[in-house]
Amino acid sequence: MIEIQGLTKRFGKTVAVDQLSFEVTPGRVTGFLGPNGSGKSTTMRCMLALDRPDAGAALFDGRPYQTIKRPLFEVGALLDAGYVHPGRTARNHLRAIASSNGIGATRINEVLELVGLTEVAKRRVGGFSLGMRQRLGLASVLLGDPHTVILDEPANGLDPEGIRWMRDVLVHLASQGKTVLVSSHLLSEMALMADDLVLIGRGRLVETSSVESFVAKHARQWVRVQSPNVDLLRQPLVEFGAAITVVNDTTVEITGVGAATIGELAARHGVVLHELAPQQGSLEEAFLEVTANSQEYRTHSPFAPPQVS
Amino acid sequence: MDLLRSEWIKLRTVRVTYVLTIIAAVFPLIIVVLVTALNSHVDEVSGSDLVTIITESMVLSALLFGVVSTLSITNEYGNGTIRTSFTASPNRRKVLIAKGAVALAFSMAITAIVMLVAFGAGSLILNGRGGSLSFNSDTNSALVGLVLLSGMLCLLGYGLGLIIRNSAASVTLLVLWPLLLENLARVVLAVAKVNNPTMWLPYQSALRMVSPRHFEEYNSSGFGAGIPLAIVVFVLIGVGIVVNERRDA
Repeated sequence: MIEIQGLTKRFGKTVAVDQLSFEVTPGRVTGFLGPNGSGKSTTMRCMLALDRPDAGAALFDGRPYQTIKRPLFEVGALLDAGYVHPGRTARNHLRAIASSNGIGATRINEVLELVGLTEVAKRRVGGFSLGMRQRLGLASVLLGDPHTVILDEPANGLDPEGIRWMRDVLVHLASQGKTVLVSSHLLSEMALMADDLVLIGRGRLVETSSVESFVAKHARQWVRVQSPNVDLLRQPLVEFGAAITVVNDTTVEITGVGAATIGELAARHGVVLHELAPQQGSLEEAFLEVTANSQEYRTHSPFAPPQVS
Repeated sequence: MDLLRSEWIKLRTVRVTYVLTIIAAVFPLIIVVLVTALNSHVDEVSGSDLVTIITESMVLSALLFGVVSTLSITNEYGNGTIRTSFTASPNRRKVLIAKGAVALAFSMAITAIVMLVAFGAGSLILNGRGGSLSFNSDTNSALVGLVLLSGMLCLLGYGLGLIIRNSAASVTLLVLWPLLLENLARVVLAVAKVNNPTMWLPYQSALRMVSPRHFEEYNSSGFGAGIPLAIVVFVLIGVGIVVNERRDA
């Protein structure tokens, strides 16, 4: 269980994290989301006592991180896979970390096997791809088999197979009852992996909920209708208060009315339907909707598709 | 103990430690072998002369061990591994003390070993060529002084690295301190007609610990010449640890 209580961190006049409070529960993967510069990494550094917060606290099972004597057995954290000495071998990198907490060579071999780096354990980390470094970072997280795992952008640099592997690992850890907090910019991946979300913007908590309810609440919902005589439905739908967006001659997207109502209207007016499909926007769409006013750096992209009205 | 083991693994698993240690070990050995083997007046070489050759050639080695200890901390900041270290062991003071202790033990041990090898090689060569060496408490004190100086320069580099956190800047300052800055300071002090200027120059004062003649003058109580440098070193490390405990990692 992680509890963040009124965490505040300032860099000069900039407030990077502002009175942030949330909880991360065991047995679930919690996604930590926010636009660039929203304070996710700073929050994680404050949680691990790497940055000194100006106010507030982060507690792991009721204790601040700096009071934990052998943290690798309780909290495994990977903030940046680049935090390695390029001249050191993968095994020696892990040995240096493990020995500080009294973890022996057997466990190092186990985690190397778990992340698939056994064959390259004697190679210098400087020659590793970013994906291999992410795997090495995860190995260091797993060294003490901790009950809490914190990862900052763990999928960076991983290929599709690696991303899927990382997802499976995190879901498996949560299924073992561990507390998993993970930040990522890959929202499609987060949608597949996370059970809960903590969303921040400009250092403040924007929303915390389950992924399901977050998407249901913020993403657009519509019904896609395909019919050879779709025009016959237009008038009855408008009378029901529906908004209609024409996709092509036979297809429309309808908001404001449910699929059941549309089906009944179609039957009543003798309209043949080829498709009647409720649709829901993605986590990405919901995220962009909620963080529209929290983006630190944004531009109007000339590459964005034109809005349909 | 776990922290010491961890820091020892870190120190000995990077290439720069090996490269600098080999240079620090081989350079004085070559100097001692060449001087003792090529000297044409073997009968005039005393034990004090041999020790002086060893200690003066090994001052450079001591400086290189200072560089090793500087890099042991600045590389951690440069590569970001200090965050991994502090995450694994949140008590920063213990981590930093363990790191300094390992670097100190390493530099003093290697200095002692190289010094003994150089001493043995030089003695063998000179005795083999008909020389007759005798050693006394002053020569022995100078050899002990060399190990102490090596430890102090190691900690000086570590203290500078702790505060500056940047490899290039820390190593530059470590090298310029004895080679340039104190010489400039000596000139300034001389112009200002300050009595006993060496007292105000920590490195040059400590350098007297490796001279057998210095111990002859002070009747074997000359380790006090290292006190100014020891004070500087402990102040630097103390400030460095406090600063690192308060700063964001």
